[in-house]
Amino acid sequence: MSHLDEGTLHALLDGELETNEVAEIQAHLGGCSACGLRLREVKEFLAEADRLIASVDAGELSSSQPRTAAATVPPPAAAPEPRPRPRAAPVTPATEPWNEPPPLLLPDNETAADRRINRLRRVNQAAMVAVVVGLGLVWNNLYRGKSTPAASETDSVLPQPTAVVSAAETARPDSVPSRPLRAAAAADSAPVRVARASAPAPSPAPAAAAPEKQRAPRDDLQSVDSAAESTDTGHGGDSAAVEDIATVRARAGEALAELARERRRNQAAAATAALDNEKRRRAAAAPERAAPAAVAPTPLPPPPPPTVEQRAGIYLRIGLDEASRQLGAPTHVIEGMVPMFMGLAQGRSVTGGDTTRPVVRVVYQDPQGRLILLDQQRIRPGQTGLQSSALAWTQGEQALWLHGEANAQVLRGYRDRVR
Amino acid sequence: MTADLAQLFEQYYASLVRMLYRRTGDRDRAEDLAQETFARAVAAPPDNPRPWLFAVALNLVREDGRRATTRGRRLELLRAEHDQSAAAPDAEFERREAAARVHAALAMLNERDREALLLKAEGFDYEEIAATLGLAKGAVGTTLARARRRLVEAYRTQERGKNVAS
Repeated sequence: MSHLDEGTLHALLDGELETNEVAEIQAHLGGCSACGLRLREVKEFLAEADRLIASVDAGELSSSQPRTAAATVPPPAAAPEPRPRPRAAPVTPATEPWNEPPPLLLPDNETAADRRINRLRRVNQAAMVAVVVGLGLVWNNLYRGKSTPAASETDSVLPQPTAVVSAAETARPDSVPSRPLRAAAAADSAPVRVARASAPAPSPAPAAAAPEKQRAPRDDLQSVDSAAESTDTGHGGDSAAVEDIATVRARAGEALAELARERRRNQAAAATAALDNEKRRRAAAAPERAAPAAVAPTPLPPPPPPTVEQRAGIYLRIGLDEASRQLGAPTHVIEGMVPMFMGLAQGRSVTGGDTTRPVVRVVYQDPQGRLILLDQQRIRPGQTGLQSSALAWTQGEQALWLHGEANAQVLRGYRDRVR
Repeated sequence: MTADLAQLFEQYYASLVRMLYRRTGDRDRAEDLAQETFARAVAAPPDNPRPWLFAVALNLVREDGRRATTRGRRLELLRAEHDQSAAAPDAEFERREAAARVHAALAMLNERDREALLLKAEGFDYEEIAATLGLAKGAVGTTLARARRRLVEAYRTQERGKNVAS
């Protein structure tokens, strides 16, 4: 085997050779130090070239201000490290300007299926928002249903009678029968316990805390009773004192009744809110259940392959006579090639051409199957100063443009044969 | 825009802009050319999109390059003024200088070598490079070998020139 050429070594390092070729080369490299040295040199060049090309990204990114959202992206801290061999699309830093969401300027023709899917998505999003708000209301109401009565019974209502009793006790210690007060307290607290037991418990912790909260007023009531009983043993028979105690008892009874009413109001509010939320949840769940059924049976059909007319971008086929009539002169053709057809092109005019005239496009196909398009358009009589290039020029009173699916080099070859 | 074309746009736009940016050194121009490439894809949806898109984009660069020579000089002048007015940190300044040298080294390659190199940097394999540039697959290795060697040598020459000047 002769020495390995540089192209083969690059192909080897790029992973482009077949397994048997690689084996042959490895066998040769095992016995040829000159090729081994050359391989090392090629490796260096390859790595250095890759590093240089990659470095253009970081350097230029920081020097050119991005046009859109990338203006807020900070520049990368340092140039990227030399990349490994790019076997697939190279990985680039996330801050590159081309990693922004691309500014899609092309027309977006939304299909009926897309519109339906988007509408269902919007309904689903609205339903989710409704569910979240509903859950928030339920939680809020449950939380208030637990916390407000507890706060009111311990902070605002109960200390008041206790303080009144203490004041009454110090002012005039008299004996008062305690049974009616105890009975009233029992009568007031019983319905509250029943209502609370029937209310839904949001979590085990508040449920466990509830008996503690219920016990607190009863303890306070017992202290009121015991205070009253203690005064009962030392003094007795004073009608004024009995009247005061009766007033205190009446106030305590009113306070307990108010407490019970407050509890019932809270329980009722929580139950009403829970009911409303349940209705909302059902209403919100209905479109969610309907959505998959509506989306499932609409798979997108595969797009039909484009026709040759679509590839060529013409909207109407015409004959040679009609083409000559549109151009006001014989149609230009590429010598030595047989046109597939000719037609009128849509939405594109030859630079400098008379835009009131249609573009006549002669369509050819080269041996590789690529479409070669020769556009022709009448220019205004006497018009000068038209732009021209290697593939766009004027000939007589017509502007011509040669383009298509082949590259410029191939097209330039055809350009010389346009007659 | 069809779903296929939208997918193409999402899949190749970034890569196309990056390649055009490395080729032209002008981000706005790279984006404009990429947009124009996709506009042409709308008119004539390609069968083999990646080589087609990059071939069209490179053709547009060549066509645009001739028209934009004067404009490019003007841009360079503006950019130079901007660079002087902005007090860049040393590291940033060095990076810009290095990037400019790489651009200059790329500009010293011939068209085919430069394009093969840029397509390879975008992850094209030899077959795709051959299809895009109209080369034989067997010639791609040699083209890349020459391109890489010339790029590195041109860059090193500039480095040496810079060191001598400083």
